[in-house]
Amino acid sequence: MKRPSIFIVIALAILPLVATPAHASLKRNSSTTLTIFAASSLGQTFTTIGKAFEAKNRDVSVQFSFLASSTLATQLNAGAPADVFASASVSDMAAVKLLVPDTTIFTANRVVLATPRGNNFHINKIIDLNKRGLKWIQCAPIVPCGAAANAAMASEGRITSKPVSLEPKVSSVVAKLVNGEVDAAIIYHSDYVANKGVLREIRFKSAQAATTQYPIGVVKTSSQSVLAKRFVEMVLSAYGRKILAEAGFIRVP
Amino acid sequence: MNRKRLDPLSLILATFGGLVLFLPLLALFTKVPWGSLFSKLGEPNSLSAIRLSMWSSLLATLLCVVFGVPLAWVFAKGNRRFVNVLRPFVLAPIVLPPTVAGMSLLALLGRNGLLGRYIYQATGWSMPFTASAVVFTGVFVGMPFLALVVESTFRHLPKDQQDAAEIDRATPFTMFRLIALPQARNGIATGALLAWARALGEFGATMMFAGSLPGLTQTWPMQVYFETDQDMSTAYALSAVMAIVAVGVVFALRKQLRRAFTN
Repeated sequence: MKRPSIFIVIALAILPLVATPAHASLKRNSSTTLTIFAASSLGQTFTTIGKAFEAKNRDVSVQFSFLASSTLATQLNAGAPADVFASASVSDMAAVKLLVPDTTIFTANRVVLATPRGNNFHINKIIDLNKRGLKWIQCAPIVPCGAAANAAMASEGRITSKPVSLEPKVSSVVAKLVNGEVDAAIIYHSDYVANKGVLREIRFKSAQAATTQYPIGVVKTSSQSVLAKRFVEMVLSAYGRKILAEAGFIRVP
Repeated sequence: MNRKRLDPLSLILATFGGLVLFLPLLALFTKVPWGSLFSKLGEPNSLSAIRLSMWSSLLATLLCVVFGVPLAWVFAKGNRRFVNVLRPFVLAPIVLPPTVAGMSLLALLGRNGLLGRYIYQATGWSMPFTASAVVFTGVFVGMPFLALVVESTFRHLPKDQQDAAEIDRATPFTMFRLIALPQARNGIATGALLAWARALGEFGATMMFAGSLPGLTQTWPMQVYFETDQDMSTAYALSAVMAIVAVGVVFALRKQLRRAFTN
């Protein structure tokens, strides 16, 4: 009686091995997959652009990995297979310059202080962060949004309170803010625009310190560099810039 | 055990399986900067993460024992039908993905959580982003292991002493305290060690529920995660010590493991 159950276990264990190549080869015949590594803050805009790209290029499916740029850079250097990398900071792009030699700045973003509408602490100025008992968060300094947050706060001065958490990527910060776990958070202006209905934003005095630039480029090891280049062109096109500008990103020349 | 019964196919597959489990750990140790191990571990962020993880996981283990042992006792001695219905719910965190565990804890104790809402309204305090959230997460993921092991221990205790105590009209509590507890001490130690290792290693749920602030809630595994983007060698140093701890736990439990497989 033992035998059948052993066969089931073996069948279950082997199933993915057998099923995956078949599925993959099926896909290869009908479509190509383009893998885009993009900063967490590009989640919504790049998904939109990706859909438009798929509509324009039949047989191509665009796959995204949205994480902190620093995490993506580490993954790329460790050999992760990506065709395009879009970073939320110049320094994280520099960390992969051997893999992504040619890059273009395609947009910029500015960090702001955001607070849920109707929050009890009535935050109207950056200095209000010093109010007792108030909880606020930001990204970890190694992540672009954290680096920009630190620079913006340093330019502001007089802030003695500390964040209660340094999150691994901006989307985690936004989620905790929107869910009301904290009273305020430093996020991108584009994140505020996406959540205008529930958030209010307070800008930092120094727009320059709060701004981070976004470079994009084709990964040298990509086996589909022509297609990858076409995706980059779409991001840089009038259409791509419009999508980004509407989402609150800053236009660059 | 007859040696001739091992066929070549089993041996080949077993070798492959064994290597899959063993090689990654071996590879980890080849990457560790042994020469600068202590200076890497001594960096302020590493040190505060190790310190936080140690005390929070030990406190979590203590709470696991205080609440988990009685839970196991109730499971071992309580109404069987009732227990059989209840047990899966209590053991669920063992197989719950860490992110789902984190979501569950936020759903209960976040500012808008089922209970957290009332606590926050009444006191202005909420558990997320505090060290107590780190401890609570450890209890949540660790206690099921302890309960599982200790219940099994209670079930397999020799009956004669308990029977004798019953004849002497010992109260249920006396029976638990003076007979079952001392007899089950090995099982409790095993369960506590497993719960501790689990609490020490928890990453996803802790990051979601407790956030990550160096010195307050940034635990040892989180430090590994953040260091991979900054200084790989520090990440390897921190990983190696965790791996040594893990191997140590399994080594310390080798007798218990052997018993579990031969009984």
